[in-house]
Amino acid sequence: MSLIKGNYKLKKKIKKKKLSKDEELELKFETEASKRLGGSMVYVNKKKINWDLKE
Amino acid sequence: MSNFFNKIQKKIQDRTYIDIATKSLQNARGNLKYAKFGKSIKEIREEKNNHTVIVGSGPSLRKKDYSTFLKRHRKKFKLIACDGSLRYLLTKKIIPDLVVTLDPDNNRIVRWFGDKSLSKKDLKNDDYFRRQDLDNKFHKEIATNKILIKIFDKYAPKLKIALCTSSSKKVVQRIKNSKAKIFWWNPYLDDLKKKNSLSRKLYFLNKFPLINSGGNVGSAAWMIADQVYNSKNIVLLGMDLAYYIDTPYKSTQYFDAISKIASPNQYKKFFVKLFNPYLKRYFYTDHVYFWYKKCFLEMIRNTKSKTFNCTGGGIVFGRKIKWTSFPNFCKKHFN
Repeated sequence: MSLIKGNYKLKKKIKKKKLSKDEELELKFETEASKRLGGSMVYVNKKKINWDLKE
Repeated sequence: MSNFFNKIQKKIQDRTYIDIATKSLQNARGNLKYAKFGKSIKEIREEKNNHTVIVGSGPSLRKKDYSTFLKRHRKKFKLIACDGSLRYLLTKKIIPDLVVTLDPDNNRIVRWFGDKSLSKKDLKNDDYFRRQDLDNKFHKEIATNKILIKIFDKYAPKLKIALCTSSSKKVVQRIKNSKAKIFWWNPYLDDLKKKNSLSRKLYFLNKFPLINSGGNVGSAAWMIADQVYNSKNIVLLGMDLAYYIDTPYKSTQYFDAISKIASPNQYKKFFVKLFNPYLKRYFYTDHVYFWYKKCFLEMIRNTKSKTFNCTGGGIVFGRKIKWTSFPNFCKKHFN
């Protein structure tokens, strides 16, 4: 399998997008906080109860 | 409601799926060897019931204290206790027909039943019970734990526990050794039609019914009242999904998660103040409780049963929920 590699340099420097404080917090929430929500399941299904796997 | 709050509460389901659903399946695998010590929740299915009262552990349970009414009319309704309300009920000699537990947490949930292996090191590692707003008695951790061990062991032979297969080994062992009767159920973890559905794997592991838990023990108790007991009227007590306005942030349920990622001046972004039109006062809630409320309203949308919220506090109101006080409900239905 061949590997495609970039073999050119950009003249213009690409600046990384600076995140706002809210975006930074949102990112931290996604990576960290969701793991520490106390352990309750949060999946909600329209079917209320399934006694024997009949869908 | 801020844009940030709105965004994160919508992300909860996706962000928690990998961690919590996987942990639930792992716990269920570990609990397989204990399956023989209980029966399927199918065994307590009933054709019809008039009234079921669900006792959650929200802060209004102690503030309003309807224990006199619960005792006076006890024979006229089924009583389902959420695990966190067990100490309150048993110390008042109120025996529930069923106790529900589901959270897969390894260390916290067993405390609602009295943790026989609780050590000072455990207390050092987790301050949850010292700071939480649900039951102040747990602020004195060792003393309350000792009392609860005795009370739970005393009443256990009379108790039926709707035990979720995702519960931790500690919870399962505590209940098994207590002589309480176990009735197993599985939580819906994802869509059964999904490729490699974890719910499907879970079902084939033990063949116990899958129940839509709504994400928390209160909603799961409501689902059991509706679908297992087939209750006509379901009464909610202690189901706040909110905090009284004077509750400090550090006493809120998910403060440990929030404080790990946010600075003190950002804490408020995870909370929202809501007006309860029935009580004409404000409560505040966090992103998780807010999400649970949305899920709960979705759950009760297509049901024949009637839901009466007699909590006397919090934010669980909306279409299909009748708001009344517990004394008024008792007067109308039990006299």
